[in-house]
Amino acid sequence: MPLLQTVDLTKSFGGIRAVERLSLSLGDSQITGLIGPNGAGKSTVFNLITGFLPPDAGRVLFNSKDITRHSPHKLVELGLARCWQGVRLFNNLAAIENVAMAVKRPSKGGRFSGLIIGWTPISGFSREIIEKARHYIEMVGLAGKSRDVVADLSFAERKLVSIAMLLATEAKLLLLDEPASGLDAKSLTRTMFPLLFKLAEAGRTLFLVEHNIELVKECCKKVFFMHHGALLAEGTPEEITRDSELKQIYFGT
Amino acid sequence: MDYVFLVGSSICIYAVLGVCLNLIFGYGNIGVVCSASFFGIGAYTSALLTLAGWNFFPTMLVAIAVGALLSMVISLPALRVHWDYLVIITIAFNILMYQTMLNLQDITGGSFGIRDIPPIELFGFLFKTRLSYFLLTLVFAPLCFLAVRYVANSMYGISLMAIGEDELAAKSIGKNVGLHKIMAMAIGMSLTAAAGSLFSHQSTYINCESFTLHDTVLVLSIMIVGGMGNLWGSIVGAFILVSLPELLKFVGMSSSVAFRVRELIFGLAIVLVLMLFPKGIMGKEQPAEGRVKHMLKQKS
Repeated sequence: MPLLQTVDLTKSFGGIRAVERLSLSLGDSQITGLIGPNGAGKSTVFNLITGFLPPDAGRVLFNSKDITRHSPHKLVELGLARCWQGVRLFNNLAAIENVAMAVKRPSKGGRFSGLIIGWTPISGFSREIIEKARHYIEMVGLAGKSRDVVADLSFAERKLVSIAMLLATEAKLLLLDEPASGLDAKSLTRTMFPLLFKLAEAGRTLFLVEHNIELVKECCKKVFFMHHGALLAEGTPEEITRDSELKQIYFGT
Repeated sequence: MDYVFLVGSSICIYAVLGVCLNLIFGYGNIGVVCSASFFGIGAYTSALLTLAGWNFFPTMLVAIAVGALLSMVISLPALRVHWDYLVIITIAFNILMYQTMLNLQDITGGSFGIRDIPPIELFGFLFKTRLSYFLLTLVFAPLCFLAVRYVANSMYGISLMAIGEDELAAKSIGKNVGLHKIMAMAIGMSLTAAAGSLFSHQSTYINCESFTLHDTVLVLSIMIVGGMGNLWGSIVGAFILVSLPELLKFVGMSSSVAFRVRELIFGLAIVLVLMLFPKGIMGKEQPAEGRVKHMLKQKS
């Protein structure tokens, strides 16, 4: 059973069909890519899957469970999390505080337990949470910068913080929106590629929206190609990048 | 001297209003502009119930309950509309509540208000004098401050601050934004109503003119001048903005212009303060270094 499945997902904005009856499925513990020209609807698909946008029609299934229209925070609890293109962080907090905010809390029964547990007199985070946050910061290689306010970090470092936050949620399925954007070639090959592989090896399933073909070819086992809101093709990176029609759509000749 | 106690008790009460608004607006970045309405609802509740023979303390509890329930009138729409529109909605709510207070003459006495409100009685002691009332507010205000501070420093409060900073980021790491906002408004507005219940016994009289949009703007100013996101700042803000108009009364002026000139000076003072302290008097960013050091040192 695929970890994630969409069935005829559809979304329009006024007269514009942003996503047209999109059906795809993701395999477990793999890195899958979603590529296509600008305006193809890739980010819309992400928003539809992760509950930030309600679809007009269609369903999203996670672990065979229908999660269409679930709110984002509920999905995180179920094991589905996303990060944002251009990186969204809590700018006035330090890196470790950002990650600590994302650490999965033990849910001891009931919707309101989180609130009650949250009212502990300990100022801020408990020891367990801080330890976990430290662990994830080290995992992305930012141990030395954990005390820095994220507003002062470089863009690449901010990206790493946001990935550490994703890890901290302990979500099984991670959706990364353009992880390569804004990174230079060295950061990509030295940091991002190995990190993505490390995550997949650790059992996480990654779904990436990407424009960087090098990353897609290097890291993705399978690729979906979107255009004008529809799924045009799916296959290995080699198959997709070799196809002359797709090349024309994406690169123009 | 009685006059000083009167001003002092007003400072305490308005400090509570500022602190409550700060939790909602300063921490949670929820654009609520109707503090005076909940203040008034608490005041009328206590006035009417004590006139019906109730003891004061239960009326404060009722005011808190009413404030919390009524906060859902603005917190539920708050989840669905953009920040700017929430400001408009709450301003409308403020005006609506004022008009209700003005026109429900049988209950609120309209612009004539409610008179002969009995003084507070607690533990057999009657708080009749300005001094005793002031001392009561001097106990009430710190208690409210500590309660709000406890909330603000808890895991819930930190999450609320994160939500205020970036709602989408907070959602993506699993924060139930809607629930946090509803709770923030319930807490803030119920304590505001509690302050109102206390306020109705400051003099033996209340009327709707104390609960206008103008009064909400005063609370907003207290929060901004003191520093949004800084609870101590609201206390400083209340002290300055409540005592300033009173101090200006001692500056000799021809009575025909005195009121207007005072308003002018008041406005000018706020502008000057914000020019010198753009983030409010106590609005300096708290350095993360110290906070993180403390956090990491906590249990190592």
